[in-house]
Amino acid sequence: MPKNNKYLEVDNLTKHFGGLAAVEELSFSMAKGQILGLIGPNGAGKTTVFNLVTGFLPATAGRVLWNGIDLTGKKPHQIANMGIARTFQLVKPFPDLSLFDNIRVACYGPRFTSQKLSQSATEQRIYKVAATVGLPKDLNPLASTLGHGDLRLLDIARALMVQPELLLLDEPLSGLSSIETKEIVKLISQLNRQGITLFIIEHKLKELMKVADRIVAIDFGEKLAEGTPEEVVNDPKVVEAYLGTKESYGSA
Amino acid sequence: MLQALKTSRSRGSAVFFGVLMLIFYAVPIFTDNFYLLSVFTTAYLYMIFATSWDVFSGYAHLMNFGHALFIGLAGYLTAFVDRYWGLPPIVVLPMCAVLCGGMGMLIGFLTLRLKGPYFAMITIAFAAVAYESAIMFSDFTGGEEGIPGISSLTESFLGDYYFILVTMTLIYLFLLWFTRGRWGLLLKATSQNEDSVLASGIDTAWLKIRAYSISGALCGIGGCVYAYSLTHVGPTSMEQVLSTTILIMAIVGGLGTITGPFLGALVLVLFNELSRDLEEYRLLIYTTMVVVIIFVAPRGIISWGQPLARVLKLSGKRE
Repeated sequence: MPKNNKYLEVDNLTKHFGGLAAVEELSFSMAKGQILGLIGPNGAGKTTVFNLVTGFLPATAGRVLWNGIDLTGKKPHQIANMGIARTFQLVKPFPDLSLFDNIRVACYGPRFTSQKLSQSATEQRIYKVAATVGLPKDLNPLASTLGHGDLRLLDIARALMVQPELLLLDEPLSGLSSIETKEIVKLISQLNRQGITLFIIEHKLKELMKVADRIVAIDFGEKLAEGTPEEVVNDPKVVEAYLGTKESYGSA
Repeated sequence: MLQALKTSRSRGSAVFFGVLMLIFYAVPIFTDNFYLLSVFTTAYLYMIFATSWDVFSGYAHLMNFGHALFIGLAGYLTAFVDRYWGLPPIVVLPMCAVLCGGMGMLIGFLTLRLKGPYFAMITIAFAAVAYESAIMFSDFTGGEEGIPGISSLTESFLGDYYFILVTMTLIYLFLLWFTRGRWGLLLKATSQNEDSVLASGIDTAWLKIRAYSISGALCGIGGCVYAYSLTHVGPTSMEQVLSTTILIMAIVGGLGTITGPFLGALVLVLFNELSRDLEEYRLLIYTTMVVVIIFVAPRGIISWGQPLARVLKLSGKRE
């Protein structure tokens, strides 16, 4: 396997919560510049995988390698500073801060400050990122006044300010209208074209298949299948565990 | 652009606080009443305590129930240094800041990785242990009597008045500057959603530890001046009542605003002193007033500022 296929490598990753195995000896890898999708039924352990990769949870066993660097045991802020940003499944903005300040928080991470931008350049960057993700032009209102879709955009904008090489999106499309969904799918492709590698958990398979280069399917913390979207979706084990029957996918 | 957005609101309050400060500095011109002046210096000291409490607890929303620990620590250090070495206040002040800042950092390291009520409990415990120690190790601390005979701050009472006022002004201005920048933003963000701050690459534990240390150091400066101005330090300077009073002042003023606790301390100290004629009813009225203020202004009296400014603008028909 060529080296660039091991940009992010998850190696026998295991996480137990008491007696429950949330993730069990999971291994997969992705190449730089790819979009990798992670799918699985509710409770399959997808978000746990994200939390393990980004340091929010310590692994019981196994490792995560990124560019050959072992991420295991590193703290969330350290991992973010290396260039791995994430969003959250339950959108997590700062409700009592303005949209501007919500995005500005990420300007104080060492990774951003190392660019030594002036205050006005930083402000321009905030407005630029807000425009990229499609937030309203006025960034003065409090985040608590935003609708669900805009909150997702805000979370992505904050993550982009980290200047990520690798961006992890946890169900970026859940709870969105079809118009909002289309816009985020467009945004995902656009970010990928700009050189950001993306790792996405998503339930909306139709949309994920449009953008993902590869997909990993898991259930009960174990890998069911890995491959191109077509391969994974047609894999009998995935069909059984995740889609119920093949027919139900066709009508989705 | 940010500055431009803020100015229209902050211009009004800057004028208000400029005038308030001018009044503070001018008070001795109009009166040489010893009692009245000492009411004001008491208010300035509590303003230091309440604003230094706010920079951590008000912004990070982690309640410190033992802020008086820093007042007592600084007070005893002041007494020791004054008695054995006879160093001038200007040298003792930074020593107190370092001691209390270090203590804040130590407690922070022990507790701030924990969340919620644990921190509050530990702050109570530390202050209580210090209080009991001050009574128990009476050979060093003078027990319940404390240590009397600390030198006075300056040669004259007026000198003391201005020393305390200048200290308070500097701490207040520092805190305004400090919280308007990244510290205020990041502490507030952390209190609202720590995970997102972590995911933005910011070490929130270290952030909180440093902020708590700064809160302690500034309170230590206040505690040092407090001991000098009383020429005495005793275990009461670390009492739970004092910690609670500071907390109430900050809440009444408005958490996470610096200026709120500044006003809260001023209003409550003035009321407490000027209502002495009410004798036994005083505490009843004081506490009732606190409850009423918290009820009608849960965000503190600072939240009356904007509606008040609007009313003034309308009646003045300016701008």
